[in-house]
Amino acid sequence: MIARGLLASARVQLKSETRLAGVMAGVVQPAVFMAVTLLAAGPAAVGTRTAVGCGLLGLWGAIVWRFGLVLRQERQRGILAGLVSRPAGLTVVLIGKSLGSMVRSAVLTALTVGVVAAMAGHPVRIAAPAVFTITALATLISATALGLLLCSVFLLSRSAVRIAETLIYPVFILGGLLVPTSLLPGWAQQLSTLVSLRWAGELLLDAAAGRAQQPGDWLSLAATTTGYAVSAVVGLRLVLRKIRAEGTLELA
Amino acid sequence: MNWPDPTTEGTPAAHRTPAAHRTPADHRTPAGQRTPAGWRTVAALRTVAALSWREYRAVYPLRVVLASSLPRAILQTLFVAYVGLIAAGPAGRDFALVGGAMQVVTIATVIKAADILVEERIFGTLYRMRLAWIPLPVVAATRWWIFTAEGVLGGMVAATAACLLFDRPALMTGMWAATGLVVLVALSTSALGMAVAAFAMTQRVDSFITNLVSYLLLALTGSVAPLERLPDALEAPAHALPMTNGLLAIRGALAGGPWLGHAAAEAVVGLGWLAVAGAVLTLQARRARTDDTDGRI
Repeated sequence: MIARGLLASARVQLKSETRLAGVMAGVVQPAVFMAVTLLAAGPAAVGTRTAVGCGLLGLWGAIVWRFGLVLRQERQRGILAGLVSRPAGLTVVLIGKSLGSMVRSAVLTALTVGVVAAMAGHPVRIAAPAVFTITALATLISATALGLLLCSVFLLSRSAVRIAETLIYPVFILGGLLVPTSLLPGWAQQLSTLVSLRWAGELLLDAAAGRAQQPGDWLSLAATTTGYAVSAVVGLRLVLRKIRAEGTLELA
Repeated sequence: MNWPDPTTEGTPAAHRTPAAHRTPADHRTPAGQRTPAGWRTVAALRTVAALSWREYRAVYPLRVVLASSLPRAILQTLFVAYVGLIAAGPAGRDFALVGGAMQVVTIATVIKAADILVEERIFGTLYRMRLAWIPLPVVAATRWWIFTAEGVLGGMVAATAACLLFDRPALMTGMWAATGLVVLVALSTSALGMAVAAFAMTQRVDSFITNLVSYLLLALTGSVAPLERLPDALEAPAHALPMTNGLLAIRGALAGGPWLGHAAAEAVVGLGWLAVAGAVLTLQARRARTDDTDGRI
């Protein structure tokens, strides 16, 4: 039932979205940041690091906006309470819908980054495609756990859009997505170890360069992702219990 | 949004008419003498400006400004400055810091402010703005002031915080001295924001359009990289965008070089976009009357 629920939710979400959904996070944002980096540093700067960084940047934008907006849409359409009471449950529907939306955005991001890098005369070369693909899938799973964690905050607050806006840039900086974490102050480097996308970025760069991936990076990715997933499940359960008791599911 | 009209306080609700909707004949003193038309317009626009402030406070209460708008402004500027740092070293960081702070201005004047027109349409109250005896572009421009002010405040706070974090006190004092130029950029980008909102208000993808314009400004106005690095085909058109000449003026002032010419160019570009905004809004209002497009969302 869970697999059917996930697939059905993803299908419904993709059908209900406009053609431009995901274009901002998947195309415009990574393309603009790649372009300005290219303009500021010259074509030589558009190496794999910039390409992977801009790709992850697009993925993080997609996580925040798709998870936040899917939830808001369900509330606006008045079907959020119905979803909570269905056998599949809100979590399954939410993951299915957000994942469907996010995968589309991730594909657009990968295409954009590839095209901009090729146009700059430095096409992205992946030395170990199989390892890179496996790492990319692990990154997507981690991103889903992180998105789910954000959902409990979005459920509690009426200011979901404002929260989403605020969350974008701390991870852009702390996640080392485009800016190497070694440039950050010491305290910020400590904080960045809690961001799973940082470890995903390191692993993706190793795979792209054909270097051996560090087991410590995989462990950190697994630990942060597990932490997000457990916190998300517990958090969602607590939040749902609270808003059911208060009768504010459709009002928050 | 519907707000009580402070100029008619004490009048029974059924007899009230918002100031901007009254005909000139409505404006008489208690003795029956007519007040000059100019003063009536000023009074009505003052009411519009006051209500714009109240609307802003309702949508963006202080806690949202402190917990969301300002932190976002600071972090965005820091990120853009870091992009400049990895691309071109410390000089690139300082260059991009100024551009990042000005990009914060456009979030308020282009993205957020567009909601003024878009939400009137969504709430079904746009026709009331059209029916006012003060032209729609004038009412819209007056309502924009609060976002222009937010842009200036956000940009300056972001620049100050980023300069403190990167330990750049000279750049910080330079930015403070250039506050007048930041105000100029906020005004010219407000004009662009009005033009974009006037076009986007009849589109389903209104927020996509305003966000796209904001990103294009980041890429094309020389925020992170010098204008000369743009392809030749884009460099000249970039000068027709607000912020391009404003950034040249600010950087000129920071370096102790010439800036007045760039500032004048920024003002001319802003006035041009204001004219475009007025024309598009007038066309939209005419189209709404003839084609009944107000209700199409």
